[in-house]
Amino acid sequence: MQKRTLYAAGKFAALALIVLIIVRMAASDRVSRTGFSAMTDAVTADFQTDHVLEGQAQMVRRLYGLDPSAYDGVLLYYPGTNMDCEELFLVKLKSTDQQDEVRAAIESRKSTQLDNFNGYGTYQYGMLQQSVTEIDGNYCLFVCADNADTIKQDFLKAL
Amino acid sequence: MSFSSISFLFLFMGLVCLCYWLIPRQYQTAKLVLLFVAGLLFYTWGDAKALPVYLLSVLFNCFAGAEIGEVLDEEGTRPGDPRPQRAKVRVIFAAAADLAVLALFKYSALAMPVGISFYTFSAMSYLFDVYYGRTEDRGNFLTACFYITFFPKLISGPIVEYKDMAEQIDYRTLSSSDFTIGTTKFIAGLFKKVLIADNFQALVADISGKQTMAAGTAWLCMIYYSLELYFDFSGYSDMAIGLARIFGFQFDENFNYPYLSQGLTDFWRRWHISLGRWFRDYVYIPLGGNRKGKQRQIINLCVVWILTGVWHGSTLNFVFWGIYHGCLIMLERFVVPGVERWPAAVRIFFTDLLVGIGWIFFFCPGLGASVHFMGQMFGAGGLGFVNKETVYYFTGNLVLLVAAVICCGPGLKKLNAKITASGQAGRVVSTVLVALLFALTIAYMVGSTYHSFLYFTF
Repeated sequence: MQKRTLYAAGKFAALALIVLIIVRMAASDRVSRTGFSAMTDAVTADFQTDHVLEGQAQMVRRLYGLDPSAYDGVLLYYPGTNMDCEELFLVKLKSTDQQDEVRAAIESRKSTQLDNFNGYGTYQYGMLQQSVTEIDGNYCLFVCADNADTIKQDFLKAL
Repeated sequence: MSFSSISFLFLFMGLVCLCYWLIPRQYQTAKLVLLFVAGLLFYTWGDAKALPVYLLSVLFNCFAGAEIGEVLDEEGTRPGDPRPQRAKVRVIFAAAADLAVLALFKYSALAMPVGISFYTFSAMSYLFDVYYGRTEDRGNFLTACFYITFFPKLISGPIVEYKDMAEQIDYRTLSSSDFTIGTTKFIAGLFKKVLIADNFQALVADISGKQTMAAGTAWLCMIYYSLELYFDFSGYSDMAIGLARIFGFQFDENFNYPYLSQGLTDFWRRWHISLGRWFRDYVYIPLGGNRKGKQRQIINLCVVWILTGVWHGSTLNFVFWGIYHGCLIMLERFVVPGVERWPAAVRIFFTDLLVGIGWIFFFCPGLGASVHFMGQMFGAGGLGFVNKETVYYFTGNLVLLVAAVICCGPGLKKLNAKITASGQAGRVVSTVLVALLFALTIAYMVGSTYHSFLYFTF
């Protein structure tokens, strides 16, 4: 009787912990099944591309220090001139373990841009301060635009 | 960590085998502890983030099985007796919890722990075998822990049933012939994976990425994928079985030349045998099997095949693939008369054709893509039956194709057995050949990029 109670307690404790881990994972480690092209369509729907250029792998390496082949998908629109600061960077991760490296790369890029405009590009500096970094499961988004919040909503909806 | 990686072969496996063989024969528990720790390390190396869920799942099932064993003891239930209600409630609860966790990871947006489909089915096998009294130990906690975490079968099977392994955990012999047989089996599996499956993988990725292709190219792609899947999965199974044998555990074959099957029923007796056996023992037979009339048998077959499809994946094409195989088996059993009188070659041809068409649902990302691909096979690409591309994909890989077709049959195994049986010189020749095969495979591995196993995703 005592042994059975012990086993039952162990069983329920293990199950409760599994449920707890799943709840935590669901909150922080959600992996989106949205395809990269569908996500690209969603985030670029409201993004103005007048002041930006589309970046290839080389530009991703130069501006963010990341190797695009290490990810499932990378999209970059970078400022067309030195006086522009509009930017959109979307990454689909292969694993949520890559979140930290991409977050660090985005922060570093944002910090560089803030330093560039600090003191003389008030408008650009303000826009960079209002920029959005959103990392959710296997997708990362950095967007610097007048309507960054709208693009963030598009991104969250598409996840 | 994969069996076909250099770090596994020369670091992990080498060290574990060495330590295991160095532990004196009388310290069997120490050997088991070593394998248990190695299992945890193996899993952590492969998917460290999923370790807590994996460990808790193992604990949950070990506790649940031990509790069921205690209930059966309290009730004084013997193997042939009807199961008491208290035990029934507990086994249903535990199995439902296992399936709920599996379904949550498999069909939601959560990152799926490596090997969850395989270790969950192993754990459920333990629960059912204890419940039905198929083992003597009545739910020994430590034996169960070791059974579920035994690393050769952990990630991609074979799904060895608890009743077949429990006794070997307690009583097993270990001889140098086990080591020889196990090593040979492991090397054969490694060869299948690295030299055959990985080459087909590159080809299939290349061809299937095209939007349009000649019908012949699409047929070639289907054939190449059929061969890739077989050599990939049977290669892994051979490595798992060989590795287990090195540690003194004897597992049944998981593949028995499936592309020589003479019908769909025969095919499923030869392909992923351990999964088919699991569904037979724990779903089909408990539902009544073929003992309750034809109508009930058809329902039971439908349940088994839908579950088989669902087990493989969350998308609709896997469900469709399961239903497709279920329907073909029912047609073969109940509708098409006298199939067994057809010439063997005809039966093999049609079986492979139908199985190959089924694999399209495996490698296409969705049902729409599968239908699109089938359209290409019948000329929807508008590029005719054969073009330059078809000739290139065929002639450029003819050696690989011929080698693969030869390896689909038992010829090489029989030849090796004949050489070995011819005396001392024959055994030396056989050993040298196996060593050469190993060296060739390693040389190829060093020079190529790593390819994961297809069944890791199931």
